[in-house]
Amino acid sequence: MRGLYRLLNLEFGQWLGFLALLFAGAVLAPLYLLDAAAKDYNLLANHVRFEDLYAASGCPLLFFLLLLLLCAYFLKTVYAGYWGSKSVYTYLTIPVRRESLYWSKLMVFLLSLLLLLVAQLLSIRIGYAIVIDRVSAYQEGNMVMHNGLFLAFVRSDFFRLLLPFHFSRILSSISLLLVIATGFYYAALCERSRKYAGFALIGITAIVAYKVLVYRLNEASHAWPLKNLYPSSLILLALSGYFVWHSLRWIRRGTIA
Amino acid sequence: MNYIRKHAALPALVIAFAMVIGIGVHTYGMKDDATFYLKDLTGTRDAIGDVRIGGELADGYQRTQFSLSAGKLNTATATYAQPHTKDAYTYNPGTAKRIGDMQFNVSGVGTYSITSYKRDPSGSYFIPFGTAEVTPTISNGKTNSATYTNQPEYGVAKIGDKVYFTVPVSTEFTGKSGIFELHFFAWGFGPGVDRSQYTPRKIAEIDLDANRSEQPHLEVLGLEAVGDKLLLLSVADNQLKVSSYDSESGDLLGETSVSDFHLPERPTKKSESEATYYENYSAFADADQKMLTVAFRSSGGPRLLLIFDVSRGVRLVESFQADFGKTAQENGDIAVMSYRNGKLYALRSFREARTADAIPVYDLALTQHLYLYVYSKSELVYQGELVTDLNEDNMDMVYGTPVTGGFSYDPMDYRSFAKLTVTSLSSPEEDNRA
Repeated sequence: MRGLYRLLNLEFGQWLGFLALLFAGAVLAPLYLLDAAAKDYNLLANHVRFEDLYAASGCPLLFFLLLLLLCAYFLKTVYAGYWGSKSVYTYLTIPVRRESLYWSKLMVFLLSLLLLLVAQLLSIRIGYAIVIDRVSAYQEGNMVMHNGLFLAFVRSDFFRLLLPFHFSRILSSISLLLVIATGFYYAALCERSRKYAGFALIGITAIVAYKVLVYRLNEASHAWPLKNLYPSSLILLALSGYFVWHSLRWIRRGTIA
Repeated sequence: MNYIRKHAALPALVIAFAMVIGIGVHTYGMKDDATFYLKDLTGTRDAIGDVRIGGELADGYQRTQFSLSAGKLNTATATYAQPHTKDAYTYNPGTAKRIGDMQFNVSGVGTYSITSYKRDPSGSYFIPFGTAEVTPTISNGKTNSATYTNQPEYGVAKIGDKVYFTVPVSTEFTGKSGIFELHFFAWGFGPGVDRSQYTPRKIAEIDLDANRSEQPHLEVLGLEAVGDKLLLLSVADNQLKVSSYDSESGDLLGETSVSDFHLPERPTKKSESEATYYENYSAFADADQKMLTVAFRSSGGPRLLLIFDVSRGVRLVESFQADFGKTAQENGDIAVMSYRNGKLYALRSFREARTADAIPVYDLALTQHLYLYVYSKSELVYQGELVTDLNEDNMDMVYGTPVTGGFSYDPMDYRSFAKLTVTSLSSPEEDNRA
């Protein structure tokens, strides 16, 4: 346990610089985009709803780019063990259970995904305050929606992906988060272990996750088939579990070196 | 700094979790921050002290249920797990008539074909379910066209599982019409079905011989159902006749007439100053209290409200004109009317009349109101408005024009009132929907 604790903090310490930058970027960049989009408001322009303004300003795209950036950074930290000083061999020989190496990296990755989510939610709330500030300047504040933030979180497919309020959707979002983390790590270890058969499963995961994501982002257009998303969530959770199990097996055997 | 780097990971994890959950709980808690209150316009709240007015304000994503009991308003907001299409039904001529959970459409001349629709499993839309055919022994002297007093769907009524139909004949029809109990065969199997297995049962006869004379004057407005009784609304000799029939035996249980009832553009109209009433009435049946409330729009503006007690025969309890405010230019309709404890309660949803030509460009973006009216002994004793945020949904369209993209009105994105009911405080939830 102490080994895991130390490795966890060591890994997190290595990420701190990048995470600070990412968090700042995730909170501040959308504010700038929203402010720029709201600047077009004038007395007679269309005062769109906050969720429509948010989508039009490019903030969801920014979120996905930051997510990709985070995944790329994670891959870089995995591969950094094989370049330069080849630290992966050192890690495999220290008197610590080899699984701790895997768990520490995975947990830091999950933590950073969670921090990106927190930053995104914070930027939505601060961004709302900024937009409302601009909107309240017109028509003696008559263009401000009461309770607009709650309605935005309920009506926007993107916001419901990030912050769902019902169990079936929460499970779906959690399963997507887990499968992204475990899937990326599994793909890197597949490649490092030269066991390329694992990529078939990665392909299946990508297809399922993609379909779930596309459905969740267009939920309002698929109103009539009732979907509780349990089959896809359970498949993704099962795949995550398999990825974890198989990665641990490889690390124990040292095939990753 | 070094201490932080050596121990930062777990606290960061806990803080991140706590923040996500905290933001989630706080955002969900904002659901009760919406504006929702009853504004008294005239009169006091004692007028609504003995009824419960309920309903919901919903769009495709969330729903606020409200209950106004003895003047006190309670609301409960809930979001849907999955957004679904809203059931926004308004009757327009030519569309199907909604009765309970089914819809009915009538087509054909000579032989009338009634199609029934049921909801699909997801509850979002209606699919055709059955067809019934009836050929009443009436004729209008023409082969391919006919004039009716009302849309044929006005002649459809439903009691329990049984569906009844009568043709809303105009004065050009002669012969013997009737009220028929329909038998449906599966929709889509029309050509191969043996019609003799599904002949409708004639339960009452309507004699149209009066239309043979020089001055034909018998017309049928429609058929309504209250409890297990069928009520036929017809006009004969400038009198509105309401007849009550037993749905099983077809016995005439009672009749009552309202005199000086003129339909528009008829040759029998007495003078220019008399008000005429449009045929497309709105009827609200209360099976528990055995009452039927009928509203006719009149040429003068105010509506004629007729309240009938149908527990034993038919008895006119009250009849008066109700202004409902500035009805002439406002676009709206009565959502529900109920006569209880000697008072008439009505909920009316309408859009304000247009004051400026170009703002807003779209009529759908005009301000909406939901007014509550209470009439006692033909006098308006209470008028109130249920004030909500619903007009803020139009914010993006107040200045919208076709140039800036048009109005992509999707009922899912716009809140509206639905499932409005008026029930007595003492009894459990009853159904009094139109």
